[in-house]
Amino acid sequence: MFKYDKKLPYPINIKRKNLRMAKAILTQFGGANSELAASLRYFSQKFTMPDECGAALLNDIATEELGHIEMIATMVKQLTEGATIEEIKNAGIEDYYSEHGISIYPVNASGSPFTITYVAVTGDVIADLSEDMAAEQKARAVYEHLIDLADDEEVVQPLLFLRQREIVHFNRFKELYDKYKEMGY
Amino acid sequence: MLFEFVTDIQENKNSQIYDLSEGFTKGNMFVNLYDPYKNYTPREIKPQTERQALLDKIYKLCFAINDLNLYLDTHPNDSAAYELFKKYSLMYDKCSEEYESKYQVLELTHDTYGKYTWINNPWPWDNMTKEDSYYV
Repeated sequence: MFKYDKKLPYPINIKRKNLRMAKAILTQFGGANSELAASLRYFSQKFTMPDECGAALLNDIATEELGHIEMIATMVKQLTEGATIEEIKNAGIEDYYSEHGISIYPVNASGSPFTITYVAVTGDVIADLSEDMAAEQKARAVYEHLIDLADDEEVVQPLLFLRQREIVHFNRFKELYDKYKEMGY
Repeated sequence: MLFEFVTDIQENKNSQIYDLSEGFTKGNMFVNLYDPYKNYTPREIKPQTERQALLDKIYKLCFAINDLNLYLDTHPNDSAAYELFKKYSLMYDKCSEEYESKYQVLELTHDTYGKYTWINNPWPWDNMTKEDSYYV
């Protein structure tokens, strides 16, 4: 089961509205390399890990990613808070506004809704961990693009934090991958 | 404070692990895994109130515990890392208890101070700062 902790893993306190940046960041909520995809990927794969190290690591990273989903959603919320119709039009996000208003809905930066087909679960530990390592690298690349686009320190800092987490996760998955290869998987 | 909060745990002497502040700021407790992006510098958070200062300690401890947790998942026999994990976990419990008794409960089952306050703002997605210069 899960227990909710009434705090974020890293504080988000954004004071400057930026609807275009919000639209870009939303991709880490509902895109192919999003925190949501990551969490569901590891959560699903944990049931077929061959030993307790794998069960624990997949379980614990899936859980950490749930906290990252909340960070991303919080960034979008604070970047859009109090947006006027004029600002929505100027930012070119009328399409999103028509369906969702100023809410948090899992779509990627181009507006495609989240789909679970972003996630692969094969039951083959080597294939699954290879997917996980690739997923972490792709998420790192997305964070770098978002950092390139950002011009507010209160946006850049949480993105730097999340980017580094992808690097740590990649390395932990790789340790597990190497261990299972050595064991003959 | 219930104890002195020392971010640089000297007795640890483990050069492979950052202290609490540096680890949290960099998003990573393990020196060998830190990989900066371009010329961006992670900046330390500057708490603006006593409440934020205490919450900041909780963030840092919670983060260190989580990163040690992942490390221990793949290195369960590293006793030095386990000792650090244990130490931070105990510090976390004390800091959380102090914060929850003074300001706001962080876990539902801790809401035992006399009346039901779980619903109270702020929720984690609320902005807790008003001033600029949130970073050092």
